[in-house]
Amino acid sequence: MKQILLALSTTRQSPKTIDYALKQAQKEKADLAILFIVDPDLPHLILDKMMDVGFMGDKPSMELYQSILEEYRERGKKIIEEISRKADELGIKCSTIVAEGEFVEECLIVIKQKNPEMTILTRAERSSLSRFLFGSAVNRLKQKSQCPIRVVEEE
Amino acid sequence: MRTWRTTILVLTFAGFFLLLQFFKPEGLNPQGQRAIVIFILCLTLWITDVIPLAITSLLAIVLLPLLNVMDTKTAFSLFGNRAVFFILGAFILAAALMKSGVSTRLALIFLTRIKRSPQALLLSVLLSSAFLAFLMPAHAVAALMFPIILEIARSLKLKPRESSYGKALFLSLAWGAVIGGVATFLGGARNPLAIGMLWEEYRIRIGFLEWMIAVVPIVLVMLIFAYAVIRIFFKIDIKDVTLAENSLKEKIKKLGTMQRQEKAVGIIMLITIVCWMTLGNKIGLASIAILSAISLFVFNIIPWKEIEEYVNWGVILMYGGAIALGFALDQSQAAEWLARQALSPFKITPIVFIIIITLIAKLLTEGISNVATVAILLPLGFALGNTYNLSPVIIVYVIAVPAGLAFSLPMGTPPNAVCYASGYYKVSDAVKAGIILNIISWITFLLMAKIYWPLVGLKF
Repeated sequence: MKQILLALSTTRQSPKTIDYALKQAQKEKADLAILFIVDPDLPHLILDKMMDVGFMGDKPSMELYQSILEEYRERGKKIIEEISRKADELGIKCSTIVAEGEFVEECLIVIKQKNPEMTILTRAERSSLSRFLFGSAVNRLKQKSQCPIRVVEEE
Repeated sequence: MRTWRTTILVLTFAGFFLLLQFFKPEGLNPQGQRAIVIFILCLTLWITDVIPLAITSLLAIVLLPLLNVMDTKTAFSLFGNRAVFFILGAFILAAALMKSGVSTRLALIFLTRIKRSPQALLLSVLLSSAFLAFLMPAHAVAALMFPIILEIARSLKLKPRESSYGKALFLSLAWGAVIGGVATFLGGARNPLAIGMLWEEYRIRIGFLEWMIAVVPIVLVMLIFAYAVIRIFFKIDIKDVTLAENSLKEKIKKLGTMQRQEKAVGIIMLITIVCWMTLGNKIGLASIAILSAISLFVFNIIPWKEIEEYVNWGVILMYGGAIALGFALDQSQAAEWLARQALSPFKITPIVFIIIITLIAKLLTEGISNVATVAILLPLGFALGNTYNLSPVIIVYVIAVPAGLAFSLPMGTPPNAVCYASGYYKVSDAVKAGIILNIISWITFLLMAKIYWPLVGLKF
């Protein structure tokens, strides 16, 4: 059975991308694998900042870090449930995965496992300067991935 | 990122060695030349944040005697500056407030006191984070209130990034903590650092109550404007907050009655604040802070192990180094030389100088830490202020207060970063509204300083 992978993360998600993935799965009569990656980068950055600037010790910083991550996991689960429900209504069979870690690495692991026909994703909200200076995860994924990557651009 | 970091480090240290060889301007003695080179090195490292801030400060402490800017004994003794011990004592007390649950109880009490409506709830978030930041560091306030506000947002079923009220709630938390954090010496270490540098260079004190009298009215006016900006930029798109009210009541119920530990910490904190206000100049703020911290353990109120986990001990390194660097710039006359170079092409009045320096402080603090902003600007400010016959006390206020007011960028200050991490608003939301609040707060500060300060004996 054909399979399409929809890759979302804490910072890479949009209704447009989700709708596109559902339409493609319906059109291609493919199963939809929904991957949500909890991105610990931002909480980690905050954790470092809190401890670096010097007010907070290990314990409250870690508690804050965990509560942010937990919130991201809960949101990921809700998004996946919502997409699964829509997929059900359209008669699309779907599977779900929640992962935690670096976006490109987690995507590559799942691509290797699921061997999809196509991976659909969107870009994180960042400035062009930031992309220029620090690179683009989507571009890195395109270079490393064995399967075609379709990027749904936001207006 | 790693390549970027390595590049900056290599360039910075290469620049440092080059400047040591070639930076020998006329009219500046060799110690002053080397003090400035070390200052530029630390400034670059603080701004780029490629190594932890505290380690940059350690570097300063070591380089100053190594390059013969000051003797080793003086350099290392500045680690024992009274400001450092005040900060340490204040952080231990803040840790006790957090660990015992007093701060959470206070936050919940503030949040449930005001009459229920979406507008009132928003105002209570802003005010409670501001007033808590009178008692403890602003980013500790953001950290402890974050799960409470998150719970409120969940109970109201607010959608991240979509709900205007959700954006308003988290920005109220961030900005309330930021504004409240400048009101006393407890809201952030930049204020104690500034008064520590004032003492080291001029042997002048600013008392705990004295600071509050000068700054709290400004803070109250800024809070009004902050609420107005939030209301204008983020329309209230919900009608009822009963679910949030119920959630808060549930949280207070779970806390139960006040336990012995909470009561004891609350009493000690109250006594400490009264002592700071009334005996600060006689006994010394640092001594009171440390005595209060000691009392937590003498009376067995909180175990040491629990407090140890709540305090970041690296704080001593950061502030000791910053004070040593400021002292070195002053003693070597490097600051005076820099001031002369900065001033000679321009003829400006003292008021224009204040306008410029407050603007620089506000711009800098959006990009780098508040403490680094004070560490960089204050030595220069003192030297420049001398030439305008401005009291160094005024210089402390006009640098330290604006340096604490960063509203636009998520990484400008930890309360902003914590609230941004909630995912309820985008960077562009904070930037648009934050720029307006930055402008308003800057103008408010200048106007209040000009109109109100003379009434309390601060003239310029």
